[in-house]
Order: sequence, then structure tokens, then C-alpha cells
Amino acid sequence: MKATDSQFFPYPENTDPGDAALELQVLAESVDAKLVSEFTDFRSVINRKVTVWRAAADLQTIPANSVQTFSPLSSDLVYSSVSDPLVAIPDWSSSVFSDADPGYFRVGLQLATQTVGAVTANSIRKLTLSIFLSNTATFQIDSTEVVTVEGYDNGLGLQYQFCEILTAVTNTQYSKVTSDFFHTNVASDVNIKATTVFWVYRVCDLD
Amino acid sequence: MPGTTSLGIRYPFQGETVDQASWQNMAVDIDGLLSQLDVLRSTTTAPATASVFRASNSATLATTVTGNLTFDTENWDTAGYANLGVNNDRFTVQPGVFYVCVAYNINTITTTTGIQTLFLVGGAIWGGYTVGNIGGTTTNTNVSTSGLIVAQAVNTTVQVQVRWNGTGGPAVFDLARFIIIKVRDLVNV
Repeated sequence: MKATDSQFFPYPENTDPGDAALELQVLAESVDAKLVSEFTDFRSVINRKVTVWRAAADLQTIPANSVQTFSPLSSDLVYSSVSDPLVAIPDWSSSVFSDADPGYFRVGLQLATQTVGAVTANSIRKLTLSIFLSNTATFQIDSTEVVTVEGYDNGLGLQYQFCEILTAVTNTQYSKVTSDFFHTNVASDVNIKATTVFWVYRVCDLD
Repeated sequence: MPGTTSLGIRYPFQGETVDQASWQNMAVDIDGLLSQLDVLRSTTTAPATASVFRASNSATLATTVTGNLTFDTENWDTAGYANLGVNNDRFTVQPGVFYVCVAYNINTITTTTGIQTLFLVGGAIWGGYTVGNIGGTTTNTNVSTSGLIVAQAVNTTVQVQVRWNGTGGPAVFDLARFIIIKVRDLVNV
């Protein structure tokens, strides 16, 4: 038997004993193996790993001038393409996800807040999203990525803030996601509101 | 009876007659599988996406009044998400996860306390972005935001609702651009 140059599909030589059925079977199996690999590769790209939470009810009440960590509840899961969400729940602030499938991940948050009572004019609303990366599950933090967005009360009732991080996770890394909120609305507390959206999805391979 | 590979490529068993049909079966089966692969390749290299735009008067709103941005130009639409001649304020999508981006300009206001941008999915507020404490005499304030949405039902509409708070006006929303990109279907292909 000989084989094609690039894909190594087998075909008979003139000196091979004639067994056309076997030769066709061998060729069919060779093509099949190549196509299985192609289907797997394309589907791994198309069927991206995605997990999305959206708060069904208010999550937390936060006093002024105090950094507080908040996270979705397990019941807030809207969609996950994997049986175990990419970020372990119920508390994404203390959870750890490790992925045996390294790649670039996008982690994002659309935060909705509203004062419990009176509004302090021009008071600050500060959202921080952090990703901690570690080479061990016991969490010695080897690197972090942080995004902070700061805004002001705008007199429209519900306030919305958005931030997102694109990060690379290697096959030796564990990652933890935290979201923190801080405000200076001294006239009353501020609620993390229903409709706050959290998401994690795998964008692509590292290379 | 021919054997089949894991993907269904037919081949004759040893001892069976190898004839024209044997070759045709295998060729046809490989052809069908490669056609399926072409579809996956196309989905991988060219995800479904649409972009719409309106240069002027995308919305005109008095203070605290909500309204949807409207569009009159289709920059691109690879999946039939936009139909501006029927509904000029939305994309209509099938179940899936999508990334949305919006940018616009707001002007002709005396003072602005805040500007609110909301994504509506199926007519209901999904999430959004607000800008506050702009103050002063405001002309040509640019706003942009993005986010991930999930459409659970067939023919789900995706829209942008805006509102501002301040004095003067009405505010005119211009240079409005709305983009949607499909991240994935809800079920694996």
C-alpha cells in the first residue's frame, strides 16, 4: 500500500495482491478518522463554553463607604453550555474554576443598583471585577487582572455599570472571579438589584 | 451488506463483490460529510452578525422619557437579523447567546444629570449602562456600551432603549450604531 502525501490516505500499489474490498475499507476508515478530527475541531470552536447568570431578585444591600463583594446565586443561572458552569456556584466570589481546556476567556458584568432610600446627589458608584490566576488549587495568587469602573448617581433611579475582562488561562492555572461594589451614597444603603448579569465564556484557543 | 465507518462511510466486506456501486456509495457518503463540514467551517469563520446605523434623529426625547433607538441603514446582516423596513428599532434572533454593542451621540441639551442605555430582550429590560454627573452645558456626549445576552425563544427581539435626565432638550440621539454577534446556539451543533 502507498499513501497520499499530506493526509496519508492509503491506496494499492501495482504489486499488492488484489483485495479490492479490503483496500476500500482501509481507505474508508482512513478518511473517516480524518473527518472525525475535523468535525471535533470545528465543533469545539462553534460550541463555545458559556455560562450566564442574571439576578432574579435583589442580591445584597450595601452600606456607604464600604467595599462589599457580591455574586450570583445558583438559582440565577440563565444558561450554561456545560453541565458544571465554568465558574463554580453558588458563590463566584469564592469559587475556583480550572479548565483542562486552556484558552482566552471573557468575564463580564452588567451591574444594576438602586438606593434603598434617599439619594446623595453626585455620589460615587464603583464596580471592580477581578480575576485571580494561580498555578495551584490552594490559591497562591500568581497574577491578577482587575478592571474598575466608576460612575455617579445620575438621578434616573436604577444605575447600571458595565465591565469586562479578557484573560488567558493556561492549562496549569486555576482562576477565581470576584466582583466588588463601593458607593458614597451616605443618605441610604444601595441594593445590588435584580437583572444584574454575570457571564463567562471561552473565546478561543491560546494559539 | 456493506460495512460502515463511525461516520457512516460505506465499504464492502471482504468476500463481497466490489463493483461500481461500492465506489459510488463511498464517494457519495464522503461527499455528504464534506458538505456538513463546509457548513461548520462557514459558521466558524463567519459567525452570524449584523450592524445597523442611523446618522441623525435616531431618537428625540424630552427629559426622563424613554424611547428606542431607531436605525435606517443596514451596514451588514449575515443572518437576517434586521428588517428595517418593517421594524427599524430591533434585531430579531433565534435562540442563542449573543454579544451586543451600541454607540450613539446625544446633544442639544442644556445640562445632563444622567444618560441611560438599556438592552431590551424580548421587550423586557435585560441590562444596561448609565452615565452620570455630566453636568454643565452638554453637546455631543458620546455613549457606548456592550454586553452578553441570552435569547431563549424563537423570534426574540433585541432593542436599545435610552433615556436622559437634565434640563433643556428635547435631546437628539444621533450617530447611533447597533451591532450584534452570535456567540453560540443554546444547544450544541
